[in-house]
Amino acid sequence: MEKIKGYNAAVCDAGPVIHLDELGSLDLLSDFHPLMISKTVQSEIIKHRPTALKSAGFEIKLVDLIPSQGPRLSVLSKALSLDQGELESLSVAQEMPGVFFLTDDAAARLAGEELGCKVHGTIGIILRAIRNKMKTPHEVVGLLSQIPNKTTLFLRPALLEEIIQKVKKEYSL
Amino acid sequence: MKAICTEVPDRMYVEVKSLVDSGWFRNEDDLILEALRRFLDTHKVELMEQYIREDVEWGLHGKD
Repeated sequence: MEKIKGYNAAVCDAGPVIHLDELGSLDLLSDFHPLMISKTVQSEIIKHRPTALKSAGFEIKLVDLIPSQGPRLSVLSKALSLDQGELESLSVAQEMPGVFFLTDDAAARLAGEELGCKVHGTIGIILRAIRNKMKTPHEVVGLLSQIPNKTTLFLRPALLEEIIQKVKKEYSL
Repeated sequence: MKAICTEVPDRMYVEVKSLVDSGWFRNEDDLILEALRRFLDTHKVELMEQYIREDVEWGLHGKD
């Protein structure tokens, strides 16, 4: 497998940064160029993981200009009770066709997909690390196993186990 | 009605108290109930599970 190349711009919500930092795997976000966060998202991250952004070891672009929301996002935001960080992130993402929007929040994800973004979360980013040659399948299984005890990412235990078994089967572990 | 007893981080409680003290909510119970209602409105189990499964597929077999 070849390492993925090309334009992988992403706007990131607080969740993936917090959850990957909890797993000591924030570096998995280094493959997105540029990786952008809004000011409110930055504040949320600092509040929950004060050292995460300082110790990231790769560039995280702070987006401090909030473009106009547009009527569609405005309606989605009210209907889905999006918080300010999610709203800012989506405001940026909707201006960039083809951009990734990284979030672990179901409502934000729904809004992101409605706006045409490629939306993914922590689980997808972790698994992607295998085909991206940033982690071995064995390391990824280890990370997935640590999610219940080391992170604040809530996942149904049986579903997590199903994912772990899928990785093991896929890579003959 | 059921009563739920739980612990919240100190910093989060400061924010809850601030919203109540400034008159946005009548009391802490009202605020927590509103927060829960909003969360449950938008976080349906089936939807969350569907998203996770889509993520697994992308993570393992996606092209980008």
